[in-house]
Amino acid sequence: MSGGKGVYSTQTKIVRGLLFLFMLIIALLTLYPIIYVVLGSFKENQELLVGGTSIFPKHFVIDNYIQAWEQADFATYTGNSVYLAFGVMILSLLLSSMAGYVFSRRDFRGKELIYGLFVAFMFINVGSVSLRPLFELAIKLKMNTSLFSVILISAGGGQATYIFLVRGFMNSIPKELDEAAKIDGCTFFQTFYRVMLPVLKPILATVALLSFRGGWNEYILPLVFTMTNQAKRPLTVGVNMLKNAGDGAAAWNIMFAGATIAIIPILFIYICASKYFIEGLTAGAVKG
Amino acid sequence: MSNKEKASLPAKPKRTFAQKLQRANSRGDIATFFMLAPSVLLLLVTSVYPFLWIFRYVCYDYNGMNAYYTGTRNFTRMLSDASFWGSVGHTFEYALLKIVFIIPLALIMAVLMNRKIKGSGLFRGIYFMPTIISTAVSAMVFTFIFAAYNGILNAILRSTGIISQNINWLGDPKTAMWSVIIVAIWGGFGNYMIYFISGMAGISEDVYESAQIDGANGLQTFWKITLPMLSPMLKIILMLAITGAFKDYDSILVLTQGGPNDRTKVMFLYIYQLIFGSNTADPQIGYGTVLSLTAAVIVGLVTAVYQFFARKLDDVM
Amino acid sequence: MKKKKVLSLIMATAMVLSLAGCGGSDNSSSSGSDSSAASESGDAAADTADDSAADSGESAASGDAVTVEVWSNNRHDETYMTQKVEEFNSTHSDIQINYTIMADDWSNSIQLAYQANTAPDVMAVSASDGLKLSEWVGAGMFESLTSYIEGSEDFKTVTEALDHKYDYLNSIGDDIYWVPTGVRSGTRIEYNIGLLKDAGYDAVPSTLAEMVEAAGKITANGAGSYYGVGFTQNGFGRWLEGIGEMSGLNHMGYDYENGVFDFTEWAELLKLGNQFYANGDVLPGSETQGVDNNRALFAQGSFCFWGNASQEAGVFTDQFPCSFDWGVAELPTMEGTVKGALSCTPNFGWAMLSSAKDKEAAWKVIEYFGSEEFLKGYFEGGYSAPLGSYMAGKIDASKTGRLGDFALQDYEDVYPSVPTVIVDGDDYAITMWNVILGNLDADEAVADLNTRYNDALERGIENGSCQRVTIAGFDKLHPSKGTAVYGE
Repeated sequence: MSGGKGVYSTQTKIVRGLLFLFMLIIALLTLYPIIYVVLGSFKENQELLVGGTSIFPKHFVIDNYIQAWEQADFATYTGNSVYLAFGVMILSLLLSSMAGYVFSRRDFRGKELIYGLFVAFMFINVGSVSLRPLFELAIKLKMNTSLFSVILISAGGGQATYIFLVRGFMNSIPKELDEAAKIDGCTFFQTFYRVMLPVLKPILATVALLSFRGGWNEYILPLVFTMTNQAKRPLTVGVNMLKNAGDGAAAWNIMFAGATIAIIPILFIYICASKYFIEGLTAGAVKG
Repeated sequence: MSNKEKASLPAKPKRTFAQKLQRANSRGDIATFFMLAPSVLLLLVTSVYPFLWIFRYVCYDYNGMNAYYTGTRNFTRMLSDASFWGSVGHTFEYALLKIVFIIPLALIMAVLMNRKIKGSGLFRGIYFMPTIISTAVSAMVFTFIFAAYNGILNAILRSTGIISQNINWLGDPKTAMWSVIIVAIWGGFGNYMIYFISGMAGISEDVYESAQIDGANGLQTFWKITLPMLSPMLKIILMLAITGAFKDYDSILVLTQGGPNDRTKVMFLYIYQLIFGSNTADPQIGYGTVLSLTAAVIVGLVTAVYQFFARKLDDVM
Repeated sequence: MKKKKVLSLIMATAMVLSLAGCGGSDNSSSSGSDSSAASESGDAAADTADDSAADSGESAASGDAVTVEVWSNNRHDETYMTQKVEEFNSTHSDIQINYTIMADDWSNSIQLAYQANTAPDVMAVSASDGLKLSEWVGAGMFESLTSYIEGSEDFKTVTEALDHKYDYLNSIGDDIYWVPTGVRSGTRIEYNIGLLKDAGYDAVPSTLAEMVEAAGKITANGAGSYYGVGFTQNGFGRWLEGIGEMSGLNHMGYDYENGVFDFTEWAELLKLGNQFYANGDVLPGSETQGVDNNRALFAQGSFCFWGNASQEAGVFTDQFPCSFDWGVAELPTMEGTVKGALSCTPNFGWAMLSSAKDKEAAWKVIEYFGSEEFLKGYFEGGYSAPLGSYMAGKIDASKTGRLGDFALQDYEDVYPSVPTVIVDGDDYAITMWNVILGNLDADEAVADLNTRYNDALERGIENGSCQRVTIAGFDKLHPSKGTAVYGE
């Protein structure tokens, strides 16, 4: 018996080692292009654009960073991006948790229709054309220079995915939980607020992470809405502007530097959020 | 439940408004309304309204400034538009290949992450990173990696003797589709991994414990417990992956513009090009709208077929 | 229990409302801070005063300076423009320029801003932006400049505005909407002198067939380390199209004399162009990389022939300095003689938007951008080349560096606008590029283009989106000289 266990554990060790190796290889493959961006941001523009097999710069050009920093107002842009991403995240959390709960737990007339509408508009992708009517609408509401409009539109466009996720997650939670709450005298909303929200933590952690990133990555929307209002630009817009050199070659090296700077805040937020994300995941694990 | 209500309503017609309100409240109707209203409102404003706005132009040549009536021409044009139907085929090819690779990879990575091996937090962060890099920048880097003349991919494959001659990854119709799919997998698997991780969080620890007591090994646990318990989420994630893959176009746009010879032109890339136009071609918003409607129907059909099989699968499991 | 229910309901609505409230208040407070942020440059006090005056309906404009909003999509001339704008602002107490560079999504941005009533008063225009003038004028966005031009002798002399009228490019009928002052030359071949010499050539050949041959020799010399030519994504328009124009083929396939599209004669050129690929003389994968990547590769000597217009003067001297001697040559032709005009691109002009608040002030700004002193510095700085002979005579050519190599040739001209057709399938540039890449047969492709373009033309005439243009006795070498007749 003890011998058998010994064999088992060496086997486990080998398996674990192999798995770790696998994870490492995937990680390296994933990282390579990112390292390329980071190292490329220290290259001369010409050296960067030639490409080639050496990813290390011939000599480190710090000036790219100085120029990127001077040309783009990173402090302001980062603030705007954080505001935008947080706004989208909070709104997405509210919308998806409530709507997902209702879709999972309630029956009412027209539910199929509304649900169908959400599904349908996930497919009907008019994409960037929808910018024009939305912008015109924002003009009428005098919201055309506001990042808050961007938050509303971004959250509105992304909510269907999150609602489905919450609904799907909720469907996998036994109904007994609601019924127990009901017997305890909870109303529909109380059941949601007191019983369901804690259970939903893992999926909400996911929604938070993904919607935050969604807001962070928005490009065309804030580009249009901050057109006459440079002080409101988020990082995505600011960084893309760095490469514009008009008639000549674009300054890709400056843009790479800007992109590298722009990774830092979101990475920092990700690391901070990661703790909560994991807590959310473990806290939600249903006992039993 | 709603049917029952309908049936019982005529029997008790004389209820005062206040009573109705109270009843509705106690059943949770009012709460339901308020919980759903913001989502529906936003859906109407940000999705339905722009759609209806654009829908006006299906019978027009519309370049963003002026519209010219063309009758049913946009529809007849679509029927004979080989580029479009070609792009439909490419979309299926792209979506299928992407999903076939990205979902298993994401699932495997999620399962591994879920074992909480030392350093898994770091790995998770790394896998997530491609999703936060701007498409313009990452596409440029992949252009370098795939470069036929001096790219690192060719260099590695040649030095290991796998190929003897440089491959023009993005320029050769034989490899272009694979190249854009590789970029799509790189940029997307971290996303689906997160979906799976959160799906697994819903699985009770106790189930795993009892499985361990029964002496199940990792693989058995995966097939017997993780996968079945994950199936409601798996279905949603698959659906998101399908709709997502059908709608992808932005990295392809930067990498190949749909070339070589339309080999990587997918539906929504074509629609994007029509709607935005180029230096040598005016925007064609009306026609683009007609195509995006058709594309929506196609994606809708695919999802319906998927839902049908997903339900069948339910019955089996 | 009931109270709790109500409470939770209120909580839920409050949550939603407060969120909206937060955003709303943020929105209103920020607009105040923006206007002060925007006015950093120049005269801050005057600027903010004007902003608030504009908000409250112009009545309170208390005799202070008028601010003219100017947007440009050029970044390469930023230093010069900023300096000149500051100069203007410090010498004018009545007018202040607020200059903004907006490079991304240019035409869309202006259109959206126009709808939002936040459009600039004056905007930069170049023929290379591809703005369809008739559409902009049709939408009522541009102000005619003709009466202003006629009232300004200096402007007329310096810009030769009345001589540089191009139908549907900068003017419609008698109405001029923007006045180009500079020009981007048509395409030239930039080449690596050393590589060409090694292959036994002293100069770039004068016919395309010889050039194909030369590319072959260079590639053979390179043995995989360098190649004959480099293209880029959708590379047809870069220089092969120019070769066609100079060989007398129809510009954009349009037969001005008969008012129809006819691409037939292009087939021969496409077959020759395809030889570059068929013989393997193109830098592998260059057609999958962007312009900038290929410029960098040229500058490190990876291929010999690169074709592009005058902006390369700056690129290969300042941005990607070549480690070797590079030359600039005129494009070859099919038969060695120039039979048609090479199209060049008028640029650096300014249009006034119809929404401009103070049109007189806006004109003063356009007048300033078109003044001799301003343009002299601009051209000598090498930001563009002069379009007219007046300014060409005023500048010190020694100051423009390699731009001199790209000087306008006699055979360069501006073609009248070709009807803007909505064609089914790929446009001609993509179709022709596919022939060159070897994906399509040349003869079939041009036949197909003829059908598709003429069908589109007929359709466009029918639904009113375009009109046929014909020029009697069209002179291929001087396309801008004829008198265009529209409609019929």
